Amino acid sequence: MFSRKRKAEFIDAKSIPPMMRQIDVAQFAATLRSENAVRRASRAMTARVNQIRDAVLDYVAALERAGKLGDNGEIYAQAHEIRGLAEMVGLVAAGRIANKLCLYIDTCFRRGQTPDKTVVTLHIDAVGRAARATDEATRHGDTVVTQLEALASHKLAAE
Amino acid sequence: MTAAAFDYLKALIVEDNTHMRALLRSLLHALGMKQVYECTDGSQAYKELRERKPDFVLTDLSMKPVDGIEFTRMVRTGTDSPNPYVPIIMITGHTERPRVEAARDAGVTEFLAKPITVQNLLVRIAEIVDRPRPFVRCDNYFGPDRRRHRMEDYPGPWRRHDDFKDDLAIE
Repeated sequence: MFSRKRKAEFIDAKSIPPMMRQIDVAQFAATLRSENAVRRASRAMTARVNQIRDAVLDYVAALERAGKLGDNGEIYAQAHEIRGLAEMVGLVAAGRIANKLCLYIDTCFRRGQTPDKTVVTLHIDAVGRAARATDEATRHGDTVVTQLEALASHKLAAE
Repeated sequence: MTAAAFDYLKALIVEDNTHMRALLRSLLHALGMKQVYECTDGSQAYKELRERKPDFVLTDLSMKPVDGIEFTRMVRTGTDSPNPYVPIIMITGHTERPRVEAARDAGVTEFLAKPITVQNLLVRIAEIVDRPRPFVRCDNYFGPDRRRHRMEDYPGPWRRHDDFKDDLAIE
């Protein structure tokens, strides 16, 4: 016969110190889910879009500089910033390619390998093109992402 | 309400990217939250947690010197943690899967995927406010229950190979 003998202690949410008075909770949650809240927050986000887009382009320039120096740590750092911000301002392809670059470098580092210079350079070039060529960036980026992913996988499999 | 509730609700943003930090601050201000504190890594955040006593935390994952995972671990299991129960929403991008799993296992309450959208942010905050998660304490974990759906009277069948080993004992 099986009986429950929990090794884990479960602490009910009701016994955890609340962040606000119970009377406010429902109203507060309703406010957060209201169209008005969405509208106000959306306005705040829209107001930041241009600033973030400029920042992404600055990170792209820094990524390209790091690429010329062959500094893989810095390349990862700049690509990481790009992947975090680019998609929020519509630079979907640039964000995705930067993400693939991060994943490739991270995999190499975890394996104790040096990232292949060609793979890294092609990714950096693709990020730059996708970030600056806003027309058809996504379609262009989809192709580039697929090709680069295949190249990176091929290189990783070969090593 | 709601002005009063927003007035006393305190949020802490832990994010090393200036632009993302500013964006999150703007969003929370737009919702009417006035007490929004910011810092750029987990070690600063731990001090802020002690001093400001925020009601919830929005944190990035990758930061230096102390990242979001280590920060979460310190909050949940640190012997001097000022509030091990504080809700922590982790903002993750296209982050490597092992790191996301590590974050979950450190005790993150909710995940918010980048690119963040207004709707997703609001839903996550609403979740921690009106549907607080139960906590679990065991040998190697303290934090929100990682299972989203749990039936107290679940009769089986037990599908996991470790159901009996970890949760049940044979008498």
